[in-house]
Amino acid sequence: MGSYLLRRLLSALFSLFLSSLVTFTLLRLAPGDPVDIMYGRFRPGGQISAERLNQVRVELGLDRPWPQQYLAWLSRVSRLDFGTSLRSREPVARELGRLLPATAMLAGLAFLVQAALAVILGIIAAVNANRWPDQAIRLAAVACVAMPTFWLGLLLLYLFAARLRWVAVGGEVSLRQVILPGLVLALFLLPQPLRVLRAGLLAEFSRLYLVFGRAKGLSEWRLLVRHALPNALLPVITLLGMNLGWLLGGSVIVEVIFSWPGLGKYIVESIHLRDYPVIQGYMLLATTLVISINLLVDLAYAVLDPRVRLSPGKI
Amino acid sequence: MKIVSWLIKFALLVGILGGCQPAGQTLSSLPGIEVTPRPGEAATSEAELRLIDQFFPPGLDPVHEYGGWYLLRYGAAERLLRVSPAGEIVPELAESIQAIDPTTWEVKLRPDLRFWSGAVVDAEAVKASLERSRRLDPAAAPLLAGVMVEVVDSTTIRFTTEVPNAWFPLNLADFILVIHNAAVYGDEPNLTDPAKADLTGPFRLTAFTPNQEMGLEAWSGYWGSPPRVERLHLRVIDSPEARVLAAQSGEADIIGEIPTTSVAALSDSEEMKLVEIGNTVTMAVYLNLTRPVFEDVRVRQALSWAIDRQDLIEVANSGYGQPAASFLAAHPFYPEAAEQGYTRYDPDRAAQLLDEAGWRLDTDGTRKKDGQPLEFRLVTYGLEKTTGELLQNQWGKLGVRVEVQHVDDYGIIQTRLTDGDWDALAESWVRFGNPLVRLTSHFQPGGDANKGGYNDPIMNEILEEMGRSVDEEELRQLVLKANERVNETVPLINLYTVPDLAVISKDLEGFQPHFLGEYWVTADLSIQRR
Repeated sequence: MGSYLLRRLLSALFSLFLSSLVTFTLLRLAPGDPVDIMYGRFRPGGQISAERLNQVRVELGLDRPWPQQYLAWLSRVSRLDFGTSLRSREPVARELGRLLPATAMLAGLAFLVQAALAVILGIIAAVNANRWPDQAIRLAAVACVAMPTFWLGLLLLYLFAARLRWVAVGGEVSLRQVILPGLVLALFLLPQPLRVLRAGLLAEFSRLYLVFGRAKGLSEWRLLVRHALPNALLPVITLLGMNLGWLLGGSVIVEVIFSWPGLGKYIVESIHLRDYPVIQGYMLLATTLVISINLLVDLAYAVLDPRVRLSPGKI
Repeated sequence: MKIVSWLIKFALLVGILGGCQPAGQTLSSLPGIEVTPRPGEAATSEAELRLIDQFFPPGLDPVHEYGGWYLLRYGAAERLLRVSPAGEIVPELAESIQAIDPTTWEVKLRPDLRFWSGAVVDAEAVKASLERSRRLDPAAAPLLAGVMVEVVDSTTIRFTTEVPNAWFPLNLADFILVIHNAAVYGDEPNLTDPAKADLTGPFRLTAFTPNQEMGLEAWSGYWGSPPRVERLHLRVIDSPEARVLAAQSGEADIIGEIPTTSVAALSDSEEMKLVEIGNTVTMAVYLNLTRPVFEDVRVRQALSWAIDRQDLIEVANSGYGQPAASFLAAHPFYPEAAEQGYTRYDPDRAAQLLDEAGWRLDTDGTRKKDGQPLEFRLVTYGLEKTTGELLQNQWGKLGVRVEVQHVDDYGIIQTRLTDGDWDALAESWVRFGNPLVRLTSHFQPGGDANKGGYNDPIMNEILEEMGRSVDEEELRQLVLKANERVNETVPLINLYTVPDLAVISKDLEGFQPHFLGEYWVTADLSIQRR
């Protein structure tokens, strides 16, 4: 187990390095100069001289060759200094730290709702396969996939904010305000784990060990909960883990529609402004989160599936 | 099953907690997050005004990335002089400004001015503020380029310019030159701590969460009439659709940056009304004059005559905005400019000009010369897509083929401009301000907005004359002459003024739209909710 964790840690560090290098290179190759964007677009005819703009580039370290810039950034990151935002001049770590709780709150709620609904509806659909509850759930799942999140978001806002006035349109962080965006995200992500669980349960239902269990006199509920469900849940856990990584990275459209001050909205603004340190810091954070969640999922597998735990060479 | 049961219980708990969350409860467990009262609760107090805007300043320092503009808008900051809603330059912190000679100006401050901290706003403090802006804000440097700032006495400041500059007061009225307490701010921009902000406006900052919300309260030490509301609460909602929904729900008293496409949805509101905050931002098509297709001035003139500007306004902006017949058509100093240039839609004149230039209409409906079709690419950005498509249609009727290339990322436009990979570009720029600065930046070789490589000896001569002249009337005539020259040579095609729409509560009193989008909030603003 120890050597497995060490290997995963080294692999994670390499992935982080690779991700940061790719991000850095792509950013520099992307069209647009951050100083021009910051001071050129919105101040027409302001006649900020080219010399002054170059001076700003020097102040921000953007005049140095790319490899030098990357190495300087890498050196700072090794000291847990993620640099300073070109736009706000605030430390990137502080900015990301400020926004992460809101994203975590939204991601957490969306994840829980999605997981709970997927398990409940997946069981109902499997137990009632090809009958009306199953067909109704399938229809609902198709609707969730077909509805664009911005459309559903606006629809819910129109109903609950503009008409019923139960919530504000946005711009606030509170448990009340997170419900609508959380629900939209949960519904968007729900169909896949739901359908996978249904298919998994149906596959388990046809296995001989359940026939044997029935012959032993075990109740249908016990067979489902203690035997079929744990097996069918394994691929669902992988999916949920991937979804959680995606959610923690920030969900841009939903955050914009609901004015939820999370990472997704912030990073899109930073990309438009070519705020290099912020984008690089964010990518590092997002990659770390995804790698960590994948590791946790793998460990969860080992706990839930004895075959994985006992198989030599896997862990 | 334990997992399932746990998940269900937790989801229910979250739901119940969310539903039962008391109004205004602070989520102390989430650092950096402040929760504000829900709409219709604590905020209904007449003491508080609620605002929603599209953007916020990235920080609270007026020298940092146009922070001054937002601080002016929300009643926190002031300048020596300001531009009135009628477009006149009037004193603000200054009591008066006087031209001693063509290069010297003296500003007399109002008596007993103070910053929020209680520090005196005297000539030394003003000088320190302006010098800090010049040092730290790249946008301030051109406004004070070659300007010497001297303290004459405690309330008098002398400005000496290198060359005569009849429009120097306009520079002092620029939002970039907000007066702030340089001694408190220091050399590093103050970004997020409202307690360290020290300005002079009627409302002082009390809370600030970047890109989220801002709080202000009435300042009792204000030199003018005391503010009529006690507190302001501002929120950012950057989705235009969500701002429209907020306007429909009446959850704020002023909501800015309303898209023109949503006008119909707001027209029947009982609580809110739509107001057009005039604007001098003018939409235009910039032409790449190095392209052979635009070489002949008659082609450029024809393209301008062939535009039905009113149609653009009706379709692209729901009827809001004004046709821009010339470069300075929307400049409040020069109302005559609106009568110059392309004041009507004249497709016959356009066709005649193209015929004269040798671009004949072919049987396939396209104008051709030496077998080559009259065609070019039009790059559009952001909200200008509809305008681009309408232009494509209008010019198409003339036999001109236009390919609209829409991009949403300005970095791509910058790269294409740098590489010369463009024919025409639809963009909107501010036209208000020092006319010499606006004209030289657009039409002098090397000007930062001279994208198409325009170089006209006659225009250069007019601009040089403007730089030398000190006579007010002579300058006026030169500005109009330059404007006329732009109409004749058409380095760009002016389309319309871009409307700036806001929705305000019908209970609001004292709201005066400002054509620059400044001063949403003044001390005179009040609300009596029904």
